[in-house]
Amino acid sequence: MYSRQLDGQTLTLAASGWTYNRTFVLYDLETETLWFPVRGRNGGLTGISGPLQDRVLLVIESTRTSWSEWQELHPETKFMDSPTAYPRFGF
Amino acid sequence: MKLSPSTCSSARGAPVDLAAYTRALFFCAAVLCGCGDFSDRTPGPSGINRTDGTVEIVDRTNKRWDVTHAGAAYGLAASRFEFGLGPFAIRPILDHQMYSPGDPGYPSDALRKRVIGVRLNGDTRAYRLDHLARHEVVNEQFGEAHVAVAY
Repeated sequence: MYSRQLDGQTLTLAASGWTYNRTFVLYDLETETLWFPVRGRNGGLTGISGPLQDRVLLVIESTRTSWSEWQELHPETKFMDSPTAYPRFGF
Repeated sequence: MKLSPSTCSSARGAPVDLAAYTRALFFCAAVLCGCGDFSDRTPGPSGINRTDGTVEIVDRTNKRWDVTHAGAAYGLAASRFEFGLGPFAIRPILDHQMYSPGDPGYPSDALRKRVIGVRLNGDTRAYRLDHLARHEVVNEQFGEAHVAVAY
């Protein structure tokens, strides 16, 4: 999980349609900067090309686990199931 | 965001090759969007343009992406970008419903699914990995924090 705030600006991230070394390459809708988890950048997303190149979106701690295990540890947790809406024609 | 095997397990506990699943997802998305010719079966860029020191990769929607800096600064070779389905082929989740405990539809602990769990700014949420795999990104907000939950 990554922060999508940079210099007071909030970015909207999406898949660019590219992968690199079997890893998704994201981009932001606002500047079309490509974002990729470059090694040695503290696990964050690095802008690899575009107006925000060389900037880093910081990683935020998250956990991959089973639903039952997560719910047992966090019974107050909210749950996202099927998305109710996403843009049908562009953004 | 790594497409590594055994990141997830099926409902029966068997490991699922997510890399193969996601490559298949990318391929199906490309077919559905009618992006490009698949007779060659190669997933690389539709084209690579090198002009006056600038390197561009061209995706299947003919959108050009300048990756000159990506190569120069980070060693990312243009030829190793794959698929190039275009920015609208896999849409992020921008709007979704979060179920709270006690809501109709809130799953019991018998739900055999993998999730990404997050605790931030006093809020705790879980996102199904298989849904994230289809959309790649959920743009979320936890209080004042704007985050991307990325598969």
